[in-house]
Amino acid sequence: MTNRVKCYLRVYLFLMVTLSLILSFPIVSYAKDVIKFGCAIAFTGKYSREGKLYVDSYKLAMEQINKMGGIKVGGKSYPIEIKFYDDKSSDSESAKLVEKLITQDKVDLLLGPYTSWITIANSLVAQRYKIPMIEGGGASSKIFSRGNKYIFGTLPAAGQYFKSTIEMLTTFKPKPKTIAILYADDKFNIMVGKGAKKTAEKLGFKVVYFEKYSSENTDFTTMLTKLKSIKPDAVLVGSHLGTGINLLHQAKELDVNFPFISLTVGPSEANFRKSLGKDAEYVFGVASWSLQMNFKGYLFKDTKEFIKMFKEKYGYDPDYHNASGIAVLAVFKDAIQRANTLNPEKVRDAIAKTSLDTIYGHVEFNPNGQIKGTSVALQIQGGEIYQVYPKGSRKPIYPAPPWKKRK
Amino acid sequence: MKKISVYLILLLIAIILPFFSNNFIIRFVTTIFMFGIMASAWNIIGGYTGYASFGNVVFFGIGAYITAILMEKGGMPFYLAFPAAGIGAAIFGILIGLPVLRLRGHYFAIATLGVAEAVKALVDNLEITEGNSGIYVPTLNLPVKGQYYFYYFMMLATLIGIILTTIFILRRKFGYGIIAIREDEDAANAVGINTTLFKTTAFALSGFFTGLAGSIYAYQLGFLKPEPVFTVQTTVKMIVMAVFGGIGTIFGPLLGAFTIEVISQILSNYFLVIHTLFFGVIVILAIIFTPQGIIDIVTGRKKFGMAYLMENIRKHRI
Repeated sequence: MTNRVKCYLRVYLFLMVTLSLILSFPIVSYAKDVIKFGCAIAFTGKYSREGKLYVDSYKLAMEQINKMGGIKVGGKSYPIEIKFYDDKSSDSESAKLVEKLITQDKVDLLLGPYTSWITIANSLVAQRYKIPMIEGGGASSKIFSRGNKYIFGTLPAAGQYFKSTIEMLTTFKPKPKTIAILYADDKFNIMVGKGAKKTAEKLGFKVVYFEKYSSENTDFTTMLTKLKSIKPDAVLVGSHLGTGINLLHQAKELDVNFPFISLTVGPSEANFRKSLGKDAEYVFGVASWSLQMNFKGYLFKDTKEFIKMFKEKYGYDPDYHNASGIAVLAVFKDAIQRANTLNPEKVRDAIAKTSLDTIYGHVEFNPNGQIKGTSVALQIQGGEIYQVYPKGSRKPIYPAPPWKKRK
Repeated sequence: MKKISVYLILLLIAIILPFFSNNFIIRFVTTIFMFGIMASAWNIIGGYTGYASFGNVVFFGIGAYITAILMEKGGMPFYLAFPAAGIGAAIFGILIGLPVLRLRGHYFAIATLGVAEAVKALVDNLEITEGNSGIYVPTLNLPVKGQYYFYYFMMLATLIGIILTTIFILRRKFGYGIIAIREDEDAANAVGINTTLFKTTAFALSGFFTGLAGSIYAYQLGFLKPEPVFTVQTTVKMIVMAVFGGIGTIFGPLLGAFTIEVISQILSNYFLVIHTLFFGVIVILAIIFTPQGIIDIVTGRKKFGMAYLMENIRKHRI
């Protein structure tokens, strides 16, 4: 080996070893007088938009907790700190970073990522280390199906999502008889679709159309043509923001009329209303939480105060993702104080016994770790979204006029 | 001799490293090994045989899913599921390779891309894979540290396996055969090389090791979903790593995997959002200035300096 080879090899190795060392010793504040939370969530990639909703919420909740003097353990109050990493919307990356949060950053407790399948990968790491994680971004019951004791979720079970909507349908006159259910093929929406079918049949509706579509689908022509001939009284869609917008655009183009249509993800988000404009009128949505609700809070005085503060800080209306994120930290604060220790095992037990009023509603967990609760029905009226069932601020409008009769 | 001692020292470092590191470093290096395996496997078909496969991720996904199904649905232990994953991926490589390897250049690239997408769609809709809702993989019943040692050494062993295989085939007729195919397939055919056999074997070999990597990945992660394991991004990553390190060289892809993973980890450690931008810039610069891969510089085959950089730019008319 010549000298030159040695020289370059040495330079390269030196560089890489230095970089690796930097990696293994991150700048840690060694002060032990904070409670550290860790969170690997999407800052970039497919879920960056939803990820931001949670990051914003977690940060606001952190500020609020610190403003209140922190979390009280053993007679002393500690401020909290959150260490964020970007999981690039990838499950393996996310799991790796949770590993890092636990073993290298030595966080005390974990906050969840966005979306069910990334949450599952994370929860398995949390389970390995027996550190409790509360997540606000995954609703699939698959997360809670393996008896993992260390994961708690603040989104209600996906299967229950359309329950309130279908109950609302029974109150309509003339009473709708037939229901069509369309759902995207991701875990969350599959559960939504199947759950909706079960509920609808139980309440005496006839499910005339039950169809799955790919989450990346952009062309709904075939489905819409079928729906045009079946003419169901009500259509329930397990959707995403993008597919929801596409579906409605194409329905208008093909003149397929729905007396009633409700979508899971979409209507409650401002972007949905902005890009559909007037065509978003009369569309129903579901949410586990809405802006019209008013609950007594734990970190905030009530929901109204939370919405005001949130809007001032970030300049957009919070939706149920945000509220769910706030609930995550509220539950943690309450549970740590009741446990009166940071011992992960004891905090876990305290979380399991949670019974707390938050701006997100009353939080209690099922034995499997998922929150007890249902969702509400919303409708877009005059460009704004209102809760219409149960006991909302407006009455639901049914049936919706056909496209051609709208101004 | 000296060259061999360098490799032995590196191997020794790799073996004792986990006993001196925390679990995150172990997991991180395991990931580097995984990409090292995949980039090296891609190198066999893409680098030596000259068939730029854009669907190599399909072997990874198949390996992962075979492991998940055998363990979760069939109740098999990992030591059976692991070789099954490799063999299954290799068989798939033969079946797909026979028709697809008749295509050349862009057509081959696009066809393999299509294969990966098609398999993803299939896995998405099958009952046994639990479709898009994802499938759990039973977890390894060991203390935490033990689990990480296990995954680490499995990956390391597989990595050594593919490096030795590459060295081995390069010294046989097979190695010269595939390089001949890369240089001029018709000429290779004319001198009596059974090109179909050689190409398909190279493809299957590439699939075998990628499948093994997928198997360990599945076991470590504990949960699979079609989208992330069949994503074209993984293929792109394999290719970028192989090219970055040095295409058609034995250690280039591994070097590429190591460098890229370390840089990308550090960047995303300090820049929450714009790390992707920096990372892109680094890759572009590397491709412009060292299109033969950084291995040339690291091993000193080429003298690094202004002259080298300018030569590359002139040669590729940038």
